[in-house]
Amino acid sequence: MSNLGGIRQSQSVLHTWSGLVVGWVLFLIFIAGTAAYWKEELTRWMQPEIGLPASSATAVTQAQQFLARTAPDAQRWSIDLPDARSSATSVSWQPQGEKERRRGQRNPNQATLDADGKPVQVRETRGGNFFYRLHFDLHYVPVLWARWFISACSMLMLIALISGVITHKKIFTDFFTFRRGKGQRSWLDGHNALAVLSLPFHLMITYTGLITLMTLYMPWAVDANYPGGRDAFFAELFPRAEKAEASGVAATPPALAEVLRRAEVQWGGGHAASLQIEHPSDSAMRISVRRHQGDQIAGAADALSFDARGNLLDAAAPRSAAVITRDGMIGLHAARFAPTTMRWLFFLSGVAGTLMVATGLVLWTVKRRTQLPDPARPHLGFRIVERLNIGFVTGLPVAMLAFLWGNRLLPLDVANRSDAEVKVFFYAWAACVVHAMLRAPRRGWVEQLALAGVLALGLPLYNLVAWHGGAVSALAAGDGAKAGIDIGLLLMGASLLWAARKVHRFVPAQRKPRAARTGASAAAGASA
Amino acid sequence: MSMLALLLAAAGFACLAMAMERHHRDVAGHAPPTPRRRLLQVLGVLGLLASLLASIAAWGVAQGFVGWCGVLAAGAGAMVLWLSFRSPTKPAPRPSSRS
Repeated sequence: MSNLGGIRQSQSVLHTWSGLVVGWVLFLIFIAGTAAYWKEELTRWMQPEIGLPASSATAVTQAQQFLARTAPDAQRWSIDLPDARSSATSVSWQPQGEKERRRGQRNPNQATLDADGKPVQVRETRGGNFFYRLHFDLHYVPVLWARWFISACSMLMLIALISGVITHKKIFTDFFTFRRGKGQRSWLDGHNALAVLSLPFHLMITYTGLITLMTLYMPWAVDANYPGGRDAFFAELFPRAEKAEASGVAATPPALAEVLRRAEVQWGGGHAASLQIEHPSDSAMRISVRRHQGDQIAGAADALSFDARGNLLDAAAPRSAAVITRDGMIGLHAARFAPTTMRWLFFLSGVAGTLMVATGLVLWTVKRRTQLPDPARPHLGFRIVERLNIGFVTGLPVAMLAFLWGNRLLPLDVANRSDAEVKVFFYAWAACVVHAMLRAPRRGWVEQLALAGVLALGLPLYNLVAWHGGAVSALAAGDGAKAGIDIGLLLMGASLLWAARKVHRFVPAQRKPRAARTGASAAAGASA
Repeated sequence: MSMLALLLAAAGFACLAMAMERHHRDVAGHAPPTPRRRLLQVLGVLGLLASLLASIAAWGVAQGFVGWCGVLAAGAGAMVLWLSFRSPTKPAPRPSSRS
């Protein structure tokens, strides 16, 4: 028993410090990643100009008509089809003689089509994709550096999870236990419950997250087997169809809706996500149809190629067991396959993970505050942790909500509008960190929680007034995605205000100035 | 069907929680007799298994197991909240645990 105690003690130290050192980054990863479960829905919400999407057969026919009108001689057409979650068809084309654009470069040759196939002017926004990218690419830093950093933090997260399970003395006895209003005890109970109840999710999300970046930080197997380097490896893993050469004989593409139907039969009832037509005005044209990644858990964007008469040319080679395993893990992580109810469950588990990190961070200060020689004058390290906790745990939700407000309020014609929205996010966050440094910690928590609550509650109300009835009309139109975001924001705003009130009303235990807050109060605030 | 899975999981966890002395005491005021504990445990496990079946019926085998993990987390979470908030101001049963 003493031996076990020794292990537990050492694991406890490991858990505390591996968790604290990267805790703030983990909070960012968790909160942005959790929001990214609604990536498509957020994008739809952030482009309120577009209504419900057309069915994919209708959408592809409309896109074909539009492209045949707009760019009949293009070198390539690309069509991204809407699905149940996203809202519009986007088409782009590459005029003859123009070079292929790099990813992320602005393309003037593109249009967004609504359900009637008419091009619509939508506001320029990164949409939910901003949160998605933020959670593994960060921002304003080179992508590779960011991913190395995220990998290292995730590795520490895995260590913190495993050492945390070993440290936890009574997982089964305390399984349902949450004792409220008992200071440190409550924080520990909350931290444990959030961790244990969603433990399968936490282990899965951390491990599969590491898998998504594995070729970056564990390159040796690839290096040993591919003398040509990583590019040769990726070329073999994701073979590119050879380029079709134009024959010079004019032709028009077949009905793409029929091609789509054939592809879906080939996949045994799968769905197409996008089409690319090379040389759409030439008889040697090649039509490739990519499969929707959400069709299976181990989703892959398999491509099928068709010729100018709509006959199947070739299909992607079947994936090896190793690739399917990897795709399965990435699929579990991104949950592209999840239908709405399951998506909510993934989201809830993500919220639990976010709160687990937040309560862990707060617990560090709660535990140490009682041991301070003079609680009124804590040492510098303590004060830094305390202030950073506020700047991240409540600052990030404020910044994310400010980003959504930026989407609504920035003038539509402002230059680089999507970058301006991102700037709103970072200015708001910086302001929160500065505010946390300047204010007394308790006031800092209350003010930022209240601000986040007001921002969250304000958005659906603003939509109600300024966007044709907001959630009410979205529900009436059967647009569950838009209404869901509004309703989610309402709930979030209410719980943030509740948390702010709880922290504000909290009476510290006698003789201990500024002792632990009650129950899950501030923790609930992180659910944004 | 997914709602049924959630309800079954919550019911299963309710039985499992009631099979534990501490929570039974909180709710009923006394410790559960052994036969009742056994019965509750069996019922709890059956409830969780039934919720797995409902998950599979809702989402298919592969996704059913994935969804079930989420269902379990939500069901157990609901139970924790219910047990914690059902009596707002309860006198501390264990004075020694004060921190």
